[in-house]
Amino acid sequence: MKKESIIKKAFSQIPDENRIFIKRLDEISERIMSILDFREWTQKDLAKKMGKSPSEINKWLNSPHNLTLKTISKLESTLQTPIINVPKTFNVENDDDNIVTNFTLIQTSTEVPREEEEVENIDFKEPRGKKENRMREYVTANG
Amino acid sequence: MNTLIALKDLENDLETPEVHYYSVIIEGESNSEFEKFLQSHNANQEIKEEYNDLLAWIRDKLGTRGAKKRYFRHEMKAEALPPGSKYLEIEYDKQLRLYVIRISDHVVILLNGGIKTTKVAQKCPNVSRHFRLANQIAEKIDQAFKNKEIELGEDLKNLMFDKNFRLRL
Repeated sequence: MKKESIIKKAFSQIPDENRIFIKRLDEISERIMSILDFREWTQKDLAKKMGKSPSEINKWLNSPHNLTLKTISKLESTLQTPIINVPKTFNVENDDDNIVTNFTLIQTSTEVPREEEEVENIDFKEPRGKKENRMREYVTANG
Repeated sequence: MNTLIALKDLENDLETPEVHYYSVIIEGESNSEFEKFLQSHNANQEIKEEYNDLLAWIRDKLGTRGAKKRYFRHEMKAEALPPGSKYLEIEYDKQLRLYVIRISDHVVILLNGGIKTTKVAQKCPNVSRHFRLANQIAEKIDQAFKNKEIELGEDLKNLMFDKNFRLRL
């Protein structure tokens, strides 16, 4: 039997979590690039607005860099547009929603971010009622 | 004495939609420089994450998006095709370095690397020899392009060279 090549073997052993990490980074980076295009900002403009160096922004967007949730939040705040969306529901019947090991990278899109997605339309400051009521709503909504 | 180096096409082992990968084999050795990199680092638990991310970056990111300049550590000045090949580094936070030669968005030569322990690559006991070799090979590849010993294919997605062609260091 022919021995598997060193290279084939190495690439076949990449754990899913590492491939998911690179895929997510790619999606975030492409999303930021699209928003920059839409706003007609350069990476330098973004760096200036965030008080960061252009090389740091370049590193975030173009290398396997571990972006923290804090950094993503700062980016969303500066860009005034969401970068990541977490599904609000878990639909066990829709397999497509639940497969994280689909490694196909999305194509770059320069489509205009939709108005209703703007961060400024999301009210972070005003809670929708007392904590107990919100908890009750959660319990009701989740059975 | 001159060291002879052969180009090795990696298409059979690492096929991607956008990038055609190559490596090099030093005369008298059985494995390519990239295979040596894999063998040296695949069992190192200290850099397990960096190593696996790097492989996913090579195959999934570069392989799908193309080997754009911005995806590499050093931004080089704009070049016409066929380009002046420059050594580049793919880096990860914890100093794992892989030296490569980016010929175009679609052609990359994967070499060797290591865990960089000093600020300057030339002074690092782990990577200095890989850094030097990458630079030497990049220079020879430039010359080979000028001499038309190596050419880019019509679609600019592969290298064309005689099977007996060797780089002489």
